[in-house]
Amino acid sequence: MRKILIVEDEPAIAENLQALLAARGYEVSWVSDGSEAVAKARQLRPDLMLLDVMLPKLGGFDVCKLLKNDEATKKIKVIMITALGRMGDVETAFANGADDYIIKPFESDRLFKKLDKVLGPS
Amino acid sequence: MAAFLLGAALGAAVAAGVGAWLERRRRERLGRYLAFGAHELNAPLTALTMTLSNLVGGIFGDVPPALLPWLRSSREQVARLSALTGQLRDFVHLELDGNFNQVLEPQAGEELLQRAVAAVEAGFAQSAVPLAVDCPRELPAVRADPDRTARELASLLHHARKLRSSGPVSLSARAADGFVEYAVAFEGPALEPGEAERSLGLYYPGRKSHALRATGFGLGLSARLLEREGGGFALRVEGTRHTLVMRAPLAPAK
Repeated sequence: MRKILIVEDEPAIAENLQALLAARGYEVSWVSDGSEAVAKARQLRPDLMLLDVMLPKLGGFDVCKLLKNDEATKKIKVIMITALGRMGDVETAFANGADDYIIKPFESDRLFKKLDKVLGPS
Repeated sequence: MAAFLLGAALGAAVAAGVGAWLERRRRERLGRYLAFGAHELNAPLTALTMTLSNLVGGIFGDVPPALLPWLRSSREQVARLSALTGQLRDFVHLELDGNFNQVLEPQAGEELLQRAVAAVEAGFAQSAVPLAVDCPRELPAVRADPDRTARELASLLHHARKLRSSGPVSLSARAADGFVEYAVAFEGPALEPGEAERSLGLYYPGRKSHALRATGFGLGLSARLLEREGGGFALRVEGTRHTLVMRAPLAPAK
């Protein structure tokens, strides 16, 4: 079973994502801040992280950069969750090693397409 | 005397320059403030969108059938709210803080159309307005900001539903001259000469009187956004026949 780690500080979004992805057959975990995300990624080694940009303690870009520069975690795929129109977010995400991005608010079919693109069809 | 005049002219020039600089700073600060607020709306909108989608999709379990139309309608209203928030954010970035950004990528021409239709179909059904869609099977891919472009096409459909006086709203798509053209046509109000052109002004919805009732942030903003993507927008009004044409450039061949 493929493992996804959600990094999102808004519980209402994280819990919806958890339910949606679990229903699609993924094993899902959730953390709510950047420091916890790094620790959990090292421990869990998920196949993919859904990583919000704006996070407490350590921002999403820094989390991505840390993990992509670490031999133990660099293969974890990262999809950054960003906001449409925020100047430079997408470029910064790719510059920090992200594999793709998704823009808030998003519908489930759009998220599934991104997951299939990055992970391959489930 | 000449020295005095020169001094006065220099003083006026400096005062004008400082005034312009202060005004620019005020606008930028206002832009950053409004953009921050608009971005803050994203989290609750995302949560609402997902909750309603999960309920409609049965992710949280079976929903009584009688509730489904209400949930679908609520989901569409939240999508409309998201679209308006997105337009507000784009307006602020375009007009106030200069931080406008877009990501253009290949997008299936038909998928863009389907996403726009999905965003409005509950409203058409609820108000018993027929929506006739004519899309060829082999519509080529376009180069567009996928979220923003589908949102703008949905806004045009929303505009048509609101302003339609009778008959169906039709949505058609075709490829021509390096673009995919999406045309939304309907019977609406007859307009005074020049009103259609005026309605494409960015601040048209803010005018004290406007014969063509604006929806959302107006057609002028949609036109600006589509032009920024390398496409375009046109409004044709012949008698009571209104046609809104959105153009998206074809994606480069791989």
